[in-house]
Amino acid sequence: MIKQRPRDVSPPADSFPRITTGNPQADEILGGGFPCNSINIVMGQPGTGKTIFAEQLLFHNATGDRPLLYVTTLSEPMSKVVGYVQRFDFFEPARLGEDIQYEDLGAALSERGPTALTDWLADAIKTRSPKIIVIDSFRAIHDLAITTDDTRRFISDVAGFLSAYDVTAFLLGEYTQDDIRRFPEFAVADAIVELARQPRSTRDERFLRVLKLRGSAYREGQHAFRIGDGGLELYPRLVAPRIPEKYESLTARRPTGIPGLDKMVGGGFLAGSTTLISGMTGAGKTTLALQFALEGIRQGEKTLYVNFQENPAQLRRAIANLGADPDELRTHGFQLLYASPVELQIDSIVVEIFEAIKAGTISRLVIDAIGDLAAAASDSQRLHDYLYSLIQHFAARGVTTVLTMESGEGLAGTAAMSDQRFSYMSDNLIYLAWSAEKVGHRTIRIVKMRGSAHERDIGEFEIGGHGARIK
Amino acid sequence: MSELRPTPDGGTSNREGSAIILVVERDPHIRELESYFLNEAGFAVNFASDGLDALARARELQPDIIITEVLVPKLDGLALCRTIKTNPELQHIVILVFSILAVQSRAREAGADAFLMKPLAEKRLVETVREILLMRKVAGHSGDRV
Repeated sequence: MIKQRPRDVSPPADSFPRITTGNPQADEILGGGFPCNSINIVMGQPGTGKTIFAEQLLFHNATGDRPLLYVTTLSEPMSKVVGYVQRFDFFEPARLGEDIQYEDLGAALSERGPTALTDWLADAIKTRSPKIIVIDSFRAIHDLAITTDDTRRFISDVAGFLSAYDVTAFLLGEYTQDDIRRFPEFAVADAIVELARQPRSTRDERFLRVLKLRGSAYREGQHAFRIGDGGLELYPRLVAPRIPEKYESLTARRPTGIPGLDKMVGGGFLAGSTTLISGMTGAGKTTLALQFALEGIRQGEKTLYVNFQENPAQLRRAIANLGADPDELRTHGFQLLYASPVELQIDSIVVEIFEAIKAGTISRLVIDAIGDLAAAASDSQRLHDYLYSLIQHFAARGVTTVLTMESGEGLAGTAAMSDQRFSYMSDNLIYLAWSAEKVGHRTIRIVKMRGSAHERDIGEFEIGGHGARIK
Repeated sequence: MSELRPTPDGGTSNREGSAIILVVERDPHIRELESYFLNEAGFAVNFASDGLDALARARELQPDIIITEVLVPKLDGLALCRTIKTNPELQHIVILVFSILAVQSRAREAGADAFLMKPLAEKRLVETVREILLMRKVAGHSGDRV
């Protein structure tokens, strides 16, 4: 008998090797990527991006050690699949043939039925040692006239071979939600990813959603994406941080740039707090927000100004009116992010803000105005969730934030805060108004100042050559 | 003697002069692939679909290696391992536990000579089999088939 220590040539049992999607955001949503040696379904109606998703994944996993196979069946002609992939940045012609092998099983399936696929699969595994297999479309095989028993046997064989061997498989298909209950491949799938396209006003919005991922946490919900030259550009749904990334008592004050206002709020806004400046059109919200931003630069704090109202030229003018030089501001850490409200896609703008904050250098942030985000959002609950998460991230990172929002009439009351959902998530609430009867008569009221004493009386202010001044 | 092809359904396939492997596995797809890869590598492969059948075949065939899944009926792979390693007539047989379960330490306690975790990757499987056969030879149990 051999008295030697047993050899263990397996990967560590607790490791959970993954296959990257070739897209860092998709990997993040999937908790690191698809599990290796898994069967995955990518479902969605025609034109939702399934093929691009799969090809992006293939080209990023082509390392030359083992081939990656892309087999087309009955719905997607191979010539189209291969033809269009060349337009994307991830396409590398040198990978074709050896590393990535395309095959068309359409004729064989039409002639011999599903057996053509199981025979091909067994042969491919035995003779080519594939690392990844994509079958496009797997759903189309159900269109072959086969009985329920035959279908179950076919799925059992496909799943049997794919599970037995060290290969990761992707079954693409134009599946609907109803198909999830109907077709047995969903029961054997380790992951199900849905790509969808939904019309929103004058444009379409695309979403990726993970419906199932065995053995791993993933980020639930709809994640917006668009298709660009690099394939899918994803904007993972923002969620609030579970644990504050920086948990410290932020008692420092951030001057607002308006001495009278500083006095009203106890010396400035608390660091890491969020202030909503609400008011009617022309009440002075942008002026106050700009002064807050410029004060940040004066204090040596990097400041991001997100603007949907004025275009960059208009904003430069507004800055110049306050006595500052826009070009000089830029060299001192003033960043401007402008998006037209017409073209605004909430997911991309929120992710852009979040990425800037994540970089860790921004101390002050202004979003002028969140009403524009609300108008662009097709789903108000989604916007609310996004803003709530963003604000939690700001607080956790100590970013002091000012949001502006246009509200309805009402001289100084909270009743004017038509959208309570935005106001309750802010730490501080300031309401601006002007009088229709008395020209130039503007008022300011500190409605709420969380964790801080503040002036409760309505104040008056004016806007002059150097901005707002509390009387 | 002419070469016989593998029989994934449980029969014997043999190659004159090659090491004999007894595979204990009930999954038909794994049997088919294991049979193919081991045969391609030059081994004679025999199959048993449960632990008791494997014990009987081990006595009859005196294989060089038993490759067993843990999850097999009647007598599980680890019990099979313990039974063989405590039987003076069979304990010389090398046992490779090849399982979907991460039971390295339990396999070691049961007396297994090697452990390999599924899924099947032909290079890993064939190399492991070759290495443990070599170890067996070095240890003085070469026989005349290796």
